[in-house]
Amino acid sequence: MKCEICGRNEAKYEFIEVVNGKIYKKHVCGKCLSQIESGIVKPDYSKIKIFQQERTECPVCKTTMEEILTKNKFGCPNCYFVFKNFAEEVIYAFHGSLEYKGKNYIPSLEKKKLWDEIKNLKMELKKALEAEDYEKAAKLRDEIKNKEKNLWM
Amino acid sequence: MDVDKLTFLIKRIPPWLRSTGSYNDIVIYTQVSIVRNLKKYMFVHKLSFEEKKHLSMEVIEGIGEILDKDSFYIIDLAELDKLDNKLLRSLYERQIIKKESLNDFLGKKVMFYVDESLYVIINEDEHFKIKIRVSGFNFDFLYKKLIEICKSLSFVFEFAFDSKYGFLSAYPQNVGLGIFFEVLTYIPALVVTRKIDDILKDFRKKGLYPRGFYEGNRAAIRGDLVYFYTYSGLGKSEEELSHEFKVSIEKLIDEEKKTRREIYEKIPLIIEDRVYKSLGMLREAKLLNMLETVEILGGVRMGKIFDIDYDLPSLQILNELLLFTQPSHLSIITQKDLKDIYLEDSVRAEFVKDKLGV
Repeated sequence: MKCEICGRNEAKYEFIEVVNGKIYKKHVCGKCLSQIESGIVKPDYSKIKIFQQERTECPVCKTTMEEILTKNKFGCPNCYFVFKNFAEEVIYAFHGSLEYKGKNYIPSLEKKKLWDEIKNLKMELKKALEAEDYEKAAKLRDEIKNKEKNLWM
Repeated sequence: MDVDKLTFLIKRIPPWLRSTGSYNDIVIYTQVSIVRNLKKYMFVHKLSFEEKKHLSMEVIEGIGEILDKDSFYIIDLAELDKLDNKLLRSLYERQIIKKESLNDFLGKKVMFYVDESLYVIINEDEHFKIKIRVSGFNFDFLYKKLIEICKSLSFVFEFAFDSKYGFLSAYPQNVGLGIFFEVLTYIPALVVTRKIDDILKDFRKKGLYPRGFYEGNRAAIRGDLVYFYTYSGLGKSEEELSHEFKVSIEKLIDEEKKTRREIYEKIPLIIEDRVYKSLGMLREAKLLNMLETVEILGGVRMGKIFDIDYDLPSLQILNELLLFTQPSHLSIITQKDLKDIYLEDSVRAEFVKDKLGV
């Protein structure tokens, strides 16, 4: 049978995908399979016409919808909001979800200050070692250790 | 850029190929990639050369704040191509840079850590990508290091991050956690019994994808070596993603171990045949291309794993050979200019025979 993605080559592989908790089996050819594996999404062809009609251009990077569809990449962070509908479509197709569930890595001002203090202490430590002032170096090392404990708490 | 120093490093076996990690008879190495883009720049493919230069300086400065500034070499890929194209290709063979970067290298840099426990690739697909690699399946250690680095990064850089989608990228498939796990596994028992087919189907459902070792055909498994990598960045936390990955690979390890025992008990001839055919071919070969080498090394490795009665070298040497028989590494290590394919294949045959004491 013919590949269910390109419709041209013989489908030699069975590709299983999970969308919305349901399992879909697609029979695909080798070329399309490797493109799926490498993550080049082929958007639903019936939808491409609609998306291509979006004449908007991202004000920050000047990328157009057409450019995104041909290159399969966005131009800048702002593109994700300018082309919101398309972005959500593609993100969902890849990840099966639209929710980031990872950690919030943005540090508080307090911790940021602590980090900068540690950075300065480390520079001082380096200077002390170069000057062979080992007493000062030992003190600095202890101070750094303490501050780092607070940082990662 | 000190070409001699880099040559010295390339001739050395990287730590992630030493057979020191756990389950190293099944998992050769484990890697996690951290993919990040800075907030105030457009994505890489939109940047001018000047902007790329600026960005790479910022990245190098920032990473140096987190990860010992004095233990890496900065490699400018364009410069390396001019100085020594073979060294550039060896970075690709070492799985540091992508194939595209061998021709398209303007503005791209690599922070090559001397202990090769990690690499930072700048301006390739993303602003930067940190690859942390360990031998075997030392997963807990890897995960701990991953989280430490992720936390530290946010003190130093302001990333393109959205509370809904997570870390942003030019590629929608890299959006979200920006964390990708990968393992290189050696699974001869599962391959010969075809049990691997069910496992691949099962893994695909869990968002784990396979890739063959020999690049000729992505879908084909050569030398019984397979990569597995995670794919999704959304809908799961770091802990969930890593836990699922760890459990899946541990299950793979168990299945492989069990199946190895089964085969060897029931039909040891299959194993012995494969091993002795490989050794025979190796002994008689005058020319060895990469594909043949990968398959032969797989057969010899099988002999080592199943303790076939023969004087076989260590797993570490077998790992070493997977890397050092690749064209650029081979040329650098044997110090021969391998101008044509026959010379390359004959030098490779000599080299492998010599290393395996055949």
